[in-house]
Amino acid sequence: MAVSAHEVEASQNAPRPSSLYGLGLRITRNPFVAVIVRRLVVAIPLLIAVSFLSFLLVSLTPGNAARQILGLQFTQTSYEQLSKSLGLNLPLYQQYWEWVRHALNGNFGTSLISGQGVGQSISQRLPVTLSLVILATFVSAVAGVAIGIFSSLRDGVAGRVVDALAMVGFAIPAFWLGAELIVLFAVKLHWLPATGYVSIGQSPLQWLKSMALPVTALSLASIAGVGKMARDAMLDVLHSEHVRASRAAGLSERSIIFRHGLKNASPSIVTFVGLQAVLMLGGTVFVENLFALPGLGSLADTAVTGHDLPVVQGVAVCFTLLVIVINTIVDLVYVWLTPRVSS
Amino acid sequence: MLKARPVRQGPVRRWWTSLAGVAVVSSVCAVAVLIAAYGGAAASAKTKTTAKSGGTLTVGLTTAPSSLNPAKSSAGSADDPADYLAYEPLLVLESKGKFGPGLASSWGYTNAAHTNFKMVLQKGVKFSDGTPVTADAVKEWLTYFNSPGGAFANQLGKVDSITTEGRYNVTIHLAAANPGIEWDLSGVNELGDVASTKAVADPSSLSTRTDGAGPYVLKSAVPGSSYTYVPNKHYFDPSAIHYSKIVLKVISSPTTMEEALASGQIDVAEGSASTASAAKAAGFKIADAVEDWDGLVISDLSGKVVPALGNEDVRQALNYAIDRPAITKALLGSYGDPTSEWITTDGYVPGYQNHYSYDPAKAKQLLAAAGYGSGLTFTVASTAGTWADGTPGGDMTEAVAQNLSAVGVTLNIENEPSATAEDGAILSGQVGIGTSGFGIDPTAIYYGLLLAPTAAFNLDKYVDASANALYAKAATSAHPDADWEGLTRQVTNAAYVIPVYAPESLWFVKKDVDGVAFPISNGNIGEGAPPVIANFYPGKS
Repeated sequence: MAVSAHEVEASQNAPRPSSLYGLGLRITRNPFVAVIVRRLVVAIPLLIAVSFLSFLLVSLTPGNAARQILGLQFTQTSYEQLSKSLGLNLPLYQQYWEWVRHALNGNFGTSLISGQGVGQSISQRLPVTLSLVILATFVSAVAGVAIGIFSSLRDGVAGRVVDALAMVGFAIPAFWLGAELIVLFAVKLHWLPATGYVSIGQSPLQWLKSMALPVTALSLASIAGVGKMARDAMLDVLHSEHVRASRAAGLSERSIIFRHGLKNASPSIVTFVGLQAVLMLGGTVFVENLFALPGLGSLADTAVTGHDLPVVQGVAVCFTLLVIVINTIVDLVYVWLTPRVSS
Repeated sequence: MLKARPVRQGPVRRWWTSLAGVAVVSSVCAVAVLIAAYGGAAASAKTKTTAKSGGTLTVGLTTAPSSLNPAKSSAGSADDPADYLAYEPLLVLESKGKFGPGLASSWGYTNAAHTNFKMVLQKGVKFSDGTPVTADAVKEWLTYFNSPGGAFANQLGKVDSITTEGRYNVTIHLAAANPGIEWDLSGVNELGDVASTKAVADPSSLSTRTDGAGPYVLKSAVPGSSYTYVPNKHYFDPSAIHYSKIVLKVISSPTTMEEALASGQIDVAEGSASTASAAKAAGFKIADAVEDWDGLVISDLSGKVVPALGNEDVRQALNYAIDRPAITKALLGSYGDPTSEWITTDGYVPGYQNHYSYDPAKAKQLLAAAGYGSGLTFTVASTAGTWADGTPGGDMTEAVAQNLSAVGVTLNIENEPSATAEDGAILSGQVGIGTSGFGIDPTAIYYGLLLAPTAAFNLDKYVDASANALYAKAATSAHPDADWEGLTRQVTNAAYVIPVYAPESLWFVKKDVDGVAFPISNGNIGEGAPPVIANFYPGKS
C-alpha cells in the first residue's frame, strides 16, 4: 500500500515507545500473530464451555456408567458400590471439578468402562481422524474449486448441471454412499478394502487405499458445496466492473480468470472450505462406524452411548482443539490472501 | 471513467501458477492412486486369502470386549470370544449342559448341603508370564474378582471363605448352595477366567494386557477396534494352537461386516439374520444356534403399579394374544423360533415352547373373566430400533402391541434412549413391565434374576412358594434337571414372563475354516456361549 511522504516523516518523528511496549505493538500489528493471539485468547473459555456442556449433557441423559456396566445384573447395593468406586456418587459440580483439576495436569483419566487411559485412546485414534478429515478437505477443496471454475466459465448448461449435482451431493447421505462404495469397490471389484485403517508409517500405499472410500463418502457433499460456492464467487467477480475493465485493457483471459477472478474469490472459498472441514469433523462419527475405522468419531459414539464421561470429556476437548486449529488456519490463509484488508 | 486497478507493489504472486500446479499435482496423484489401487487389487485378486496352519485368522466381532480385564466385564458371554483366547477357564462349557476340565481336572461338592465346592487343578499349567497356576493363584483371583464391583461380581453368592490344600486343591465355602456354580466357574461370565498373581497384584495392567493361561496372549490392540493375539508359548497343549496370529476386528454395522467377509478381509464373522441370505448366497458356511430369548418381563408381579399384571388370568391372556409364529417369521425369517417359555440350558421343556398357542378368543375370555372385558391400558418400557443382540427389538414391541390391541389391550410404548435407560425405568418401578432380551443361561440364573424374592426384577418381592421350593430342591440335588424343568413349567403356567421368540446367533464362516460350532444343549438350542475361537482350525480351501 502506498504511503505519502508526510506519513513517513510523521512516523520517523513520532516518540519511540518503551521496548516492551514497542515489541507488543509490533507483534499485534503483525496480522498473522494477531490472528493466533486472538484464537488463543478465545480458546480457553471455549474449551471450558465445551467441556462443561458435554459433561452436563451426558450427565443429564438417563442412566450412567455404573448402570451401563451392571446392566441386568443391577442391584441397588452393587450399583451404590460401583458408583462410589467410579466417583459417580459425587455431586455433578464436584465430578466436573475433579476432571478439570486432573486435566490441567494433563491427566484425562481412564475409561469408566474399559479402564484404559483416555489420553492413550485419543493419541491412538487421532491420526485416523486427522487423516480422514485432512484428505477429505483437500479433495473437496481441489475438486470443488475445479468444478466451480469450470462451471463459472461455461455458464448456462454447465452451470445448471453443477447446481443440480450440488443438490444431489447435498442430498445423498454419506452413510448410504459409503455402503454403496464398499459394495462396488471392495466386494465386487476387490480394488479397495471394505474396512479398517493402515497407518501411513506402516505403508503409505495401504494407508491411501484404506482412506479412499471413507474420504469419498465424507467429501462428496462438501465437493458439491465448494463447487457451488466457488462458482457463485467466481461469477460475482468475473461480472464485476474491474474485470470488465481488465478485459477492455487487453489482459489475457487466463490472467483474468486466475489472477483476478480466483484471487478475489479465494477468501470466500477458503472460509467455506474451513466450515466444511468443521462439518466433516462431525461427519467422522458416521463414516468411522461404517468403515470400522478406529478414529475419534467412533470413540465418541461408543463413549456417549456408554456414559463414559472421562472419554466423552477427552474427545470433546480434542474436537474443540481441532476446530480451533481449523479456524486459525482459515484465518491465517485469509490474512495471506487479503493483506491489504488485514493490515 | 474506469480506472485501471493500481499495480501492487512488491513481488507478484503467480496465483494461476500455484493453483494450476496444485491442480496438476492433484490430478497426477489421483491417477496414481487409481493405478495403485487397481494394481494392488489385481495382485490381491490373484491371491485368495487361505487360512492354513500357522497363518492368520481374522474374526469380525460386532462389539468390542467391554474390558480386557475379565473382572470388569459388563458384557458377559459377549466378551467370551476375546477372553477365551487368553484365559483358560477353570471349567470348560461343553454341549448338553456338561462341563469339562479346564484349569481344574476334577471338581465336586464335598458336603450334602452343596456349600463346599472343591476343585483339583491340572498340574504343570502356566500363565503367559511363565508363573505356575496354583491353588493360591486361583484363590487370589477368585478373591480379587469381586473387588472392582463389575457386573458379574458376587455371582457365586455369599462366599464364607476360599481355602487351599497343597499346591493344587482349592475349596470354595459358600454361605448357601449355588446350583449354578459350575456355570459361574466355566468363565461364561468371566469368573473362571483366572489371571496370574502378578496381574492381580497390579490390576490396572489387566485393562491393557492379558495374563491368563489360555492358548494365546494379546500382542497389541487398538481398544474398541482391533485386537491381535499370538500363541502363548507357555500353553499346556501346544497342539491345540492352530494359528500363528488371531486378529479380532470390531465392525458394528452388519452390512459392513458381511461386505468385509465377502471382500476377503475377514475369515469368520459374527453375523445377523438380516445379512444371512447374502452370506449364504456368497457361499459362506453358517454356524447357528438359539442363544437368546426376547419378550416381556414383568417386574410388578403383585400388581402394585399395574393391578392387572398381578392377575394370572390377565398374564395368560397376554400370552394367548400374541401371534408368535407370525412375528418370528416376519422379523427373524428362518433364524429364530417362537417360544412361550424362557429358554435355559438345563430346564428347557420341549412341549412348552408352544404352550400358549395364538388364540385371541381365549385371550378375550380370560380378560373378561378377570374383569377387563372392556379393555385394559398400561405402559411398557422398551428400546426402539435394533437391540444390542442384533434383533429388531423395537419392531417386536410394536408387533406385540398390535396383537394386544386386537383383544382390547392398549400398550403405551415408552421408548427409552438406550437399553440401560430402559433397565433403569423397569428397575426403578416406574413401569411394571418392559421388553428385554436375555442370553440363554441356567435356570438358576433366571430364577435369581426374575423370580427369587431378592431378584432385581422382582420389585414387589413377590413370593411363589412352589417355585421357591423347586429351586431349593434343585439347589441340593445331584440330578436337578427334572426340578429345573418343573420350575420352567411353573413359571410358564403362571405366565410370570411373556417370551415371544428365541433368536439365533449366527456366525458366517469361510469355507477354509473349520471348528466353528456353538456348544449345544438341546436340538438347536445353544448354551448361551459363542463358539470358542481357539478351537477354530484351518480346513480344506
